[in-house]
Amino acid sequence: MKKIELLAPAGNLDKLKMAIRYGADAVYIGGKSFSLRARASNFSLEDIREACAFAATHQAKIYVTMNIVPHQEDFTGLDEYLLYLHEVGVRAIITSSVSIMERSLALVPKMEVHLSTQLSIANHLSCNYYQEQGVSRIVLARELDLSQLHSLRQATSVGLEVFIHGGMCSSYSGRCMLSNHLVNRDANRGGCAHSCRWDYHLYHHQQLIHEAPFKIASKDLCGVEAIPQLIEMGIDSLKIEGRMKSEYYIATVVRAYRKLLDACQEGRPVAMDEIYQELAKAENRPFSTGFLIHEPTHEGHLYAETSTPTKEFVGMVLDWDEATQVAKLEQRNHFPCEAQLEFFGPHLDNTLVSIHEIWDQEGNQLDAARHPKQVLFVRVPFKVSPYDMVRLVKAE
Amino acid sequence: MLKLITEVFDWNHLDAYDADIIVIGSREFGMYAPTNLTQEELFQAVIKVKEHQRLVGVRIDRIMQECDMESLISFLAISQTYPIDYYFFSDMSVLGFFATHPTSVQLVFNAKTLNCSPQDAAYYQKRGIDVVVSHELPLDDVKNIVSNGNVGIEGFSHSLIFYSNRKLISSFYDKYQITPLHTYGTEYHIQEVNTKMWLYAVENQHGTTLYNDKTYAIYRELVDLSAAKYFIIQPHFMDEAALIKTLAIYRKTIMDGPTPEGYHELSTLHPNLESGFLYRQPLILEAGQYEKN
Repeated sequence: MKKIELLAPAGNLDKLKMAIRYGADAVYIGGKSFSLRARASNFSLEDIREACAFAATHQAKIYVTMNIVPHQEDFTGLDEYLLYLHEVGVRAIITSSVSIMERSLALVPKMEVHLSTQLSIANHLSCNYYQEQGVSRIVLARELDLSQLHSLRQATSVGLEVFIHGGMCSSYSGRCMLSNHLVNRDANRGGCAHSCRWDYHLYHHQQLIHEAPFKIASKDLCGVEAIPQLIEMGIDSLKIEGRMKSEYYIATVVRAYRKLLDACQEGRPVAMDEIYQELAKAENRPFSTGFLIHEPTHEGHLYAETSTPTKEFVGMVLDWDEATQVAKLEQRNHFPCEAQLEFFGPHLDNTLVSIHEIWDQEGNQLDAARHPKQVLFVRVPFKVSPYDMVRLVKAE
Repeated sequence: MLKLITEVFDWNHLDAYDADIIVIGSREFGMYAPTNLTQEELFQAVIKVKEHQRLVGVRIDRIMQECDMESLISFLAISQTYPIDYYFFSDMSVLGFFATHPTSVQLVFNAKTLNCSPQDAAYYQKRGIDVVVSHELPLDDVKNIVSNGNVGIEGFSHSLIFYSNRKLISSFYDKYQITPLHTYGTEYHIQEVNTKMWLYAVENQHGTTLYNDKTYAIYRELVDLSAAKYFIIQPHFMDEAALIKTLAIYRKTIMDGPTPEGYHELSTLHPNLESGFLYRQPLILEAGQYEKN
């Protein structure tokens, strides 16, 4: 069985490094040009170079999104950008423009071209057409179920990438102009205002159908139960959405899927409940299985439901002193000095510890960790490592 | 000369439609339109259009899924035995099919939101495929794309602004346990609560589509768009009489040029005209600016 790729998002270098440390095989990022997710503090050219260097030392790959639907003025500097990406070691671009696809294949043929889900490619005739043009991988539309994915896999040899987790457009990707028309922000050039999550009212012949808001948005995707079949059918890459999500979210979600993928591929039994519990500790919206298992019913749509993480991220490990059994942390959220904390990391299973004291760098004892980024010390009677993370289980 | 394109409500009135190309939407493979036909009806209509000495196009512009492939391939193979002049498509499966089944029929790529630059349009033009430009473009951009030749404009229609495979209206009924009022194809309105903007909403067996409730109309701009090859008038949300009158207005405009009287006639017939993005630029903000907005 070939090894399936776990592909994670990153909005900046810190998130990218976290994604790789926590188990991503590849990370997709956006530069400051040609990329959607304008809010995702996109990578400078120098950041992309550093990202590729970091990835190379961890046997990971970097893909750069060029997934806007470009207008004429957006093409300025295209050749220079493509040449630069190739030079610094970007493995592939992800584009939704056929002219960017064509130009990249001609100019830097060794850099792969992946076609974005913005193109809503959902069948083998389209896949094979693009493969003939030189495309290496298709990021498939999120509207396919497992049966269709299986049939499609049988009918094409191009690389196939499937979204398994995160936010989903309610429309076919790239086919929503709500932001353009409601608030004059160009959705396909990074300006999506998530107008699908706003409230509407439904009328028929000027008669209000129901006082409850008519909603357009979908719940987030969680494809855990589809993973064994996606591996079995030979999908090449499983993608997590969320370039705007936090380091903590990326670490938690990547680690959960890493465990699941490794177990499936090694034939080990998987405690699916534990995977769901782990994912619930990150800041997600309510989940559904999207189209993977069945066509979404009203339960797949986001009405008034909300979701909060079951555990709060409170700190990041900077160091640990074996002699004193004291961990040095960077604070991320408030926690009291009497608390139960959960440590976890790329090589550390979830491990609980009760703390009764917190010190600052001057050795002062604190009754709580109150200040973001403050360096703190707590007793931890087991080895923890830099970049391990800390959750608050409960205040005692 | 710019070719006028539209669809037909009542095939007994075909001669009243003053269009150069009659397009027939497929109920199975086309996006929603009140004029869509079943496969059998569609092929009969193709013959009828040819009997009336007109050009005929088939619209198969839905996003196709893997489960559609067998029937799509069959449909396209059968359609090649009919005297079709144009296929209007938005999914590359159609191009994929014709890559292995060469055709002399003119292909026209109309993916609504995806044709926004001369560069992307050129990709298709180099392959002998015509394109239709997106609605969400300023006039200068439309002019630039049109100047490359073999380009169509969907110049009179309610802009399609949301296309989903989800059945949002049925789901809403299910969620609140409301007795359904509708059948597929029923035209609804939705109103966004804060902006108060109205949209048309239609659900069918292929999902839900939302449209601007105003009519995007290119009229006086036709002076600058004489290089365009097609001018498409969509039949959504109007009746046959209005469509036939609209065709007549545009026919006169294409022949004689736009006039204030012509525009007055058009806006009297359709009081809700808008120019879309022809005279405004969407906000393109830099990273970080969105948080302040």
